[in-house]
Amino acid sequence: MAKATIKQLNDAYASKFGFAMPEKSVVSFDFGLSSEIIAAISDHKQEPEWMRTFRQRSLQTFVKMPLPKWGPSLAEIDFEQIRYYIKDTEVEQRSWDEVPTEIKQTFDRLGVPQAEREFLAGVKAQYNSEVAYSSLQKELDEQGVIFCSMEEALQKHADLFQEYFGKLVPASDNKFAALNSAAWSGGSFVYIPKNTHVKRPLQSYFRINAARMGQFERTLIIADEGSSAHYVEGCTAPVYSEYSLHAAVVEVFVKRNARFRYTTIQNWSGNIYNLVTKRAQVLADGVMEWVDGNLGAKTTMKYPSCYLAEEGAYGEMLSVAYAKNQQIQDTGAKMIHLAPNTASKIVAKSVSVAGGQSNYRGLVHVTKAATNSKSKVECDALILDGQSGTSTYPDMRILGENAIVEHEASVSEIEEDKLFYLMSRGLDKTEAMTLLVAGFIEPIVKELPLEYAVELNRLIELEMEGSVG
Amino acid sequence: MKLVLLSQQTAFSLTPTESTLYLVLLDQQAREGQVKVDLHFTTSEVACQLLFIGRLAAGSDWQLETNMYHQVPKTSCMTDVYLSQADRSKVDYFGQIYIDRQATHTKSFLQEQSLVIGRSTSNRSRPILEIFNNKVKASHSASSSRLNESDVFYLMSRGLLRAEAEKLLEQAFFDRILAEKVKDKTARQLISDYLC
Amino acid sequence: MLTLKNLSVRLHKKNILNKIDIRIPDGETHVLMGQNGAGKSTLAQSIMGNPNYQVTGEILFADQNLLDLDPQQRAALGVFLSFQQILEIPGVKIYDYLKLLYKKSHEQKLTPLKFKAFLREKMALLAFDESFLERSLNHGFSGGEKKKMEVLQMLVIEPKLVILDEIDSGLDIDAIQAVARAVNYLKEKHQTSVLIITHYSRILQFLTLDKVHLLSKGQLVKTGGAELVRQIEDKGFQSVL
Repeated sequence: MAKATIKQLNDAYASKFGFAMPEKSVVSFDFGLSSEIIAAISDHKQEPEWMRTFRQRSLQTFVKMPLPKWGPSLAEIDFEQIRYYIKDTEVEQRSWDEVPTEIKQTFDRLGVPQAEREFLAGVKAQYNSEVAYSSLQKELDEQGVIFCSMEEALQKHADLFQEYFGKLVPASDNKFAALNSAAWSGGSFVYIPKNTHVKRPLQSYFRINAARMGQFERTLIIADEGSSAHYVEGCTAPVYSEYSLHAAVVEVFVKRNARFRYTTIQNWSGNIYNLVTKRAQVLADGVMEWVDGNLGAKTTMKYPSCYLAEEGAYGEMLSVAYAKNQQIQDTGAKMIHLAPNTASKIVAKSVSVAGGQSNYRGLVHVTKAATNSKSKVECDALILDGQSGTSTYPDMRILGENAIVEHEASVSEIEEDKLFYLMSRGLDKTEAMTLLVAGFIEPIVKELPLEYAVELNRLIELEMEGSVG
Repeated sequence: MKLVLLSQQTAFSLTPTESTLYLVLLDQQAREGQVKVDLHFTTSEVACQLLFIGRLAAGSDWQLETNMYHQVPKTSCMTDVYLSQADRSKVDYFGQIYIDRQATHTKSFLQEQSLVIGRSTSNRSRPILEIFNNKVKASHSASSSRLNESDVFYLMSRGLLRAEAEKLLEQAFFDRILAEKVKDKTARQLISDYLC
Repeated sequence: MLTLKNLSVRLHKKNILNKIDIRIPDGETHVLMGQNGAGKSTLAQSIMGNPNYQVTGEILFADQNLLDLDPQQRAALGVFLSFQQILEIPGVKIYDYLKLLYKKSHEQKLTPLKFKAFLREKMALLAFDESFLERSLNHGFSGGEKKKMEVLQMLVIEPKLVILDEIDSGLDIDAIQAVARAVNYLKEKHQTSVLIITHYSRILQFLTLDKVHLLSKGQLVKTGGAELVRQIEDKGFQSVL
């Protein structure tokens, strides 16, 4: 099944192949979104009636809902100018020579293997790593783990899919969740059976494919009782997309005693609005960890949340944001304590440089039912120059008895004496600052899979060279 | 440092021209209350402290807001909000530190602590930082926690009634703040009188 | 050769050092002594180029006036300062950091294997456990460990001029010997000049001294041979003044 699955997965992801993909290779619809276009997506995917209805209803919700009244301005988004794509299987490729020089240089500096580079740059449609993939797939099959595209899951695991899909993030949650619900395409479906422990991160093959996240990607994950797994998406290499709006939805169900970690690295190109709704429900003694790195995009709005729904549930968020060149990284987390003895922790670090703006926006809600609960939030912001900015907008609502809630935030610049210390050892200013920035975000970076950590550090180095000194 | 007691009004918009300690003592009998203090820092070298002390009565409902606007270089401010909450008391606190692009060498810190003594209390806090230059030192912290049950138990084992034990521990909470945060003698006296 | 000519230093509009003249020829070891507040650390920080100090006069090294150069340019010429106040830099892994220092100070490249061997030799000299390489720079280190980490950086860089600012304070006798071993090793291998700043004579007994300078209230009040150390040790600073 491995080969067939690869093909299907690649197909599912093909709509995202890179920047400036020749338009004729894609099935594209007219500008704007209409009931007919949504129906055509359903036709194309041969969807069951309930999903067709779901999409149509979501479209109505999307049309009715206003834009968020808080946060970065989204007024520039013109929904009428956005095209909604689903892909064709035959992708016409661009040649390596057509790839802009600065992108090639970035790949060079990051040490991205040639095969991956061609793929990332949209030169190659398929990344050839069947060996690595099929060994993972074999392991997963033996364990009864389902890891496939959403389209495949809807066809092959219809009951499971329908039981959970849209149950955590209803279309009415926010305008972009509604948009995603109407127009979703691509994404991963993961089911981990009871008491099953998946040792390798669910990424190895998909590292590259996942980098080409769709415009309205949808991910659904169910970690059944007592299971554990780690899902990794994204890519540190800059990902170029012709779409200006990306609105993904991720739903994660963590059952009793299960443990799930969801790691994201995002480095979209600078033209993109990246507006993501991520939510996890955590049942008794379950553990959900979000690890989130945001480097790219024009504006990112992302506040992964944990609904700690039963006693002993734990939610954690570790995030790092790097905002440069007028970028806005508006990120944070929401921890909703709904049951006794639940706990949560948020650690958010941000770096603002060269006119970048990074914001932390978060909610800790300890409801009346959530007695004896604890939450701790730490936000540290580093500002590297006088053109950049940082803001912190936490909201703590504490109603449960015996709650302990702590929030700390600080803003600092690179300390002059540390800079002098490092420069006295022969490092130039950029090198010294790079080292200090890397040291600042290290507590988060060390939580990433090794290859991501290495790449992220190289990327910071590269970014710093451009913006400091 | 000059001492100014803020009372009788619900909203203050102040522009300190010299270093000042602003003190707010929340009415312990009030069923509800609102206090909003804005400090506009438009004179360099001014260092202020804004101190809220409040024992919130059972069933009372409070809305508190502090806004620090740092608009010129070299100003500093400490915002301290210390509350104890009796049964069913409610507090909604919004505390902002805004540091403008040109307000370099600003130091601004905010600390909010609420000690929950009663049952069925509610606490909402939104400490906000908005920073637009890198030559700053700024931080905020907010915490809410119940008084320590083992401390209560210890005191009760020595013959104190629960209410007495709680009262003693509440006193200790405020005493610590007095020792750490209040240098001014008159201010100390005012706070001590308030707590008696 | 390091030459300080008519060197005056101000910090926050206050005069700290007045018209200091000192010459340290290649390969020589000099000692700078003086009471607290005499200006010893200011002298060290000024040579390294701490931007907080306003320096006038000349600091000549390797035919250049260091006052025209940034700290890292001074380091590139071979100047090394071991700090008295040693900063902790969390998150910066020592192995990576030392590798970077080596790369910056040496033209010849080493394979990872050879670099490991190079490091192992230096760490052995200081009786430093290799597990430190995985830790963050100075983070959570004891006072003594921080000092030894300064010396290890010195050994990795292999500088031409070494200024050790109170490297011996807070060290036990084993550690003091280890530091002296490192200094002697460097002198033997690279003809390094050394300026040791200290209150005490403990470390000096393990080194061969060429000159001793005595600083008091920002002035250089006396320069002499190694015997000056004994004199100060026996009779105190006041007797020498």
